[in-house]
Amino acid sequence: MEELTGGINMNDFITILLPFFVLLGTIILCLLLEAFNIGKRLHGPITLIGTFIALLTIILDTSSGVIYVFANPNDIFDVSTSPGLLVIDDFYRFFAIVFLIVLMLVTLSSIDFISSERNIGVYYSLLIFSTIGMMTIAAANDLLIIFVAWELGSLPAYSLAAFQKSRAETSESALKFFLIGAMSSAFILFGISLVYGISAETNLQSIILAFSDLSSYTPLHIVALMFLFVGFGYKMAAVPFHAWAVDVYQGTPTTITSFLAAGSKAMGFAAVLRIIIFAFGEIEGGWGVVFAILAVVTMTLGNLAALVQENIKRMLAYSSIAHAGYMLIGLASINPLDRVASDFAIAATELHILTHAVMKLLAFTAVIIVAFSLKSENISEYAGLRKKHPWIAFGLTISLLSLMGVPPLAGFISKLLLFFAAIYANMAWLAVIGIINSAISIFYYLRVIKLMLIDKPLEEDEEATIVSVDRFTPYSVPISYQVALMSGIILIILIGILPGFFIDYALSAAQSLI
Amino acid sequence: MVALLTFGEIEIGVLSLIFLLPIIASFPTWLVGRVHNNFSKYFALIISGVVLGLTVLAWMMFEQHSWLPASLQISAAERSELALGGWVLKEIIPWIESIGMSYALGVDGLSMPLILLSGFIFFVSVLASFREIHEREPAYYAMLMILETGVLGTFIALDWVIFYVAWELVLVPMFFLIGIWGGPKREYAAIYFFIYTHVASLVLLLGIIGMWLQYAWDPGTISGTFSFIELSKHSFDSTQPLILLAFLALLFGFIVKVPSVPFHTWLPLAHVEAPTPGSMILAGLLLKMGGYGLLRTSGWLLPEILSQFAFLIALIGLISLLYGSWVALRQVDMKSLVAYSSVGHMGIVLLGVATQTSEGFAGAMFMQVAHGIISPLMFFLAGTIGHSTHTRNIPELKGFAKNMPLVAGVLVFGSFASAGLPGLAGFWSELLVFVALFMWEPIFAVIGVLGIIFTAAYYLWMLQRTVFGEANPKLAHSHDVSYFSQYTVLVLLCFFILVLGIFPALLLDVMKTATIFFGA
Repeated sequence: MEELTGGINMNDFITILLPFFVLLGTIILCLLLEAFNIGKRLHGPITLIGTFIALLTIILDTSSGVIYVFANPNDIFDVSTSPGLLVIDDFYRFFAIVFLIVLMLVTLSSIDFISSERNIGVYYSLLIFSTIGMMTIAAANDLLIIFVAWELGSLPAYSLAAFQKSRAETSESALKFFLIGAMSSAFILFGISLVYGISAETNLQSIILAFSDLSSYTPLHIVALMFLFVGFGYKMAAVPFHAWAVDVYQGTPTTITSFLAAGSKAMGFAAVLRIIIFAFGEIEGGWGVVFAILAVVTMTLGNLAALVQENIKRMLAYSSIAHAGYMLIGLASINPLDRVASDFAIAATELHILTHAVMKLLAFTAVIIVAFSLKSENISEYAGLRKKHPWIAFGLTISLLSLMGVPPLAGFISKLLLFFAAIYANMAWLAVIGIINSAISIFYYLRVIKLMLIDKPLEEDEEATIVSVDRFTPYSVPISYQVALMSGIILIILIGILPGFFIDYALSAAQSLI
Repeated sequence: MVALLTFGEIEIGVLSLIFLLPIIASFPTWLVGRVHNNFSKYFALIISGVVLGLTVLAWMMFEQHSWLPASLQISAAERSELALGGWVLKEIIPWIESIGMSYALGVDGLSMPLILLSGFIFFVSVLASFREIHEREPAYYAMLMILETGVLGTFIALDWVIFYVAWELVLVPMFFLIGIWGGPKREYAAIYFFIYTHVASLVLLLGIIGMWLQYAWDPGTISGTFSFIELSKHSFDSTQPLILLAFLALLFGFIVKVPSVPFHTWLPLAHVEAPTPGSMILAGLLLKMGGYGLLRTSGWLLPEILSQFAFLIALIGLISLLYGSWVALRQVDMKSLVAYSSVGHMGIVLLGVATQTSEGFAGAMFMQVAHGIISPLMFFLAGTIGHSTHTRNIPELKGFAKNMPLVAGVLVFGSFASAGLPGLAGFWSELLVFVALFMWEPIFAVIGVLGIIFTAAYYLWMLQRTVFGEANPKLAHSHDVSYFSQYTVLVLLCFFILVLGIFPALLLDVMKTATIFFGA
């Protein structure tokens, strides 16, 4: 603390924002290589190393507590403890780690996926730009910063969704994604303008004060918050704002699908968690019920629709919607009057965001490999996958079991905490509905597992009639996919068996938020 | 010396080894099987043998056997804790402190016999697999090892989360055992089994959370806990709706696993389709997990709540006993007959719990162990008969004793043991439970005895239609058991049925600390 006031602010400023600088440096390096058309194969590894260093700078950063950046208009390098534009706390650190893990795994699975495309440097720099936007959202302490970061997180994702522009369905889904995204941005901007109209402030701390006075509550307060929640709800893919997600997930290149399912969704939740604190002053349980209803509708619709899907990407998209519903249980359980219960609910949501990201990345990586190997994304084609690719079948099984919530995998721990939070907040009925939904979800996850591990491959019947050269050249899985698969499996089992560290971190993130 | 090195100075306890060794060994089991198919089965046999040895060691430590060196003996303080309903050989490591969750293992009079039983049944099941499983052996034995960790973990857990993790860990390998190595309708049976029991487990989870919250909300406690030790010391207020609901949720989770009518439908299907060793483990151990959970919850953690629901439990038990035995009469498939007999016998466990007396509990616990040895024998015989004659249809098996005299003889022995013939293991549990029932509510005992009569009836009728009479000419190709592994299985199982039948005190003494605690 002495150093902060002691005048060596420049140094602190750089240390605190080092992850951002590392990522920016990586972008510049990638774009330079691209501009001079050298090192076509280097982009992926460079991004990987840059992300890893950024991750290390966050993990190894020992300075805990809350630090504000850009608080002093006269000195841009000022680092202080009075509210500024960006807040560096455990909440930011937790989400930054989530986003960087997502970026690393997406990069790993992109290295081979994207190798035959042009403009690889642009692809990676867009990925990193989007991640920087997401990290900024987690650190934002000002509504305008939230909006700018939101756009920074979203716009590169729109162009990434259209990256393989030769495929017709990609263009279609990218356009859809962009239109919906632009609309949600408009909602957010309108919500922000209303909040500004009420409080004449954009700084979150000041807004909390303006919103905490119950006697001055007008319908405008509620409308303003509604606009914000709706805008963020699109990225969360919560029902009724989910319709875009399934088509977009199916149409975009699968690496970007996993980036959207893991990263963008987390960005939506990070933004809501950042602003939900000023909805706190609201009447007791008011928002809780709204979020609870959203949670019930979202998970039920997601799970029921996933039951009938024939395309694995569509199935995973609906499962992703269902998981947004589980995360909403956590938001619904935030109780303004009970600090401990709220901490717990937020921590549970954060942990589920992390585990869901890892599980989905693992699942989509497996889908990418199978799509290359079998040239199909149909679930029925997964029959007997264990014979061709035992490790991929194993990885996908682990991921699906974890999504299902089977202990001792990661998904179980976070789901347990979510239900726990709901019962803690006197919403046992919500936990019961969550459990019923978990039961429904078994059907479609188990079906894929059964096809992969128990059923015989389809080809055994066809072999006599169809002789295709393609079938006889076995697809060998590139090393980058193997690393992505292995790290996903290890993370899921690690979080499942030793969740203490992650839960404590999520709890301290939740505590720093309120 | 080796034991001293492992358990004396270093902090790894014997229970941790029992718990973790099988799952750690599952990957090597698969790996050595990739080298040569036969390696995996011998490796699995060695590991399950080692685990059996460790369970026996734990039992000797529990019993303070004079053969053990002083360093392995339990301290007097722990010993006195046992007499008060506590646990020994405890290992408690904080795991997630923020919600009061710890890695806690321990044994007491209730779990000790079941741990021995699990070690024993897994060893026997690996042996029984030698002649049964010829497909994808490495994966099969790896699954068995994971299953063993799940089953043992359920019995030695002292923390609800460890309990739940182990409880759920059982589902995945069992799903694959049924789904990959099962009979013709295996896929349907596997999915049915998984969904049914997983949903029940989720309800169980709600009950666990409810208990945690009630503990946290009760005056005098700071935060909730999952620890059995803390929960057993705490007395809950039976007028609180939350704890009543939590008990019902737990009860539901357990009776689906037991299983009791009307939640028994997964069992016959799973049994008929599962491979024979899978059936043996399913009947011998997986059902016992439900019974154990019920005994643990109602006797130790929530005895105050048990009295509120004793009639409900007794009613479910009685209906299971009568319905299970009645339906067993009509079964044509021998495996399905044994499956329904399991439903009936596990009903007796529920009746014993409902009496809330030490006799009733002792009888229920005895039934858990006795049925845990007898039903694997019956399933092994049914599987062997099916393997040899290519049918398990009782009418087609007429006079099979001609070609398979040994199997027929053991079948008669096993049927009598299961029907509760005095001198065999099944008898003592029924005696104890019915004595307790007569003292509690005689009407249940009077109706319950009908179930025992049905039990004798379906076994005798089955024997009459299969073993005796003119031989069916279609069975001419069948042959008796002829492999060393099969002989070993039969001898081991029959031996312990006889031993427990003649010396019931062997088991009752181990359980004594547990039941005395309840009586007081």
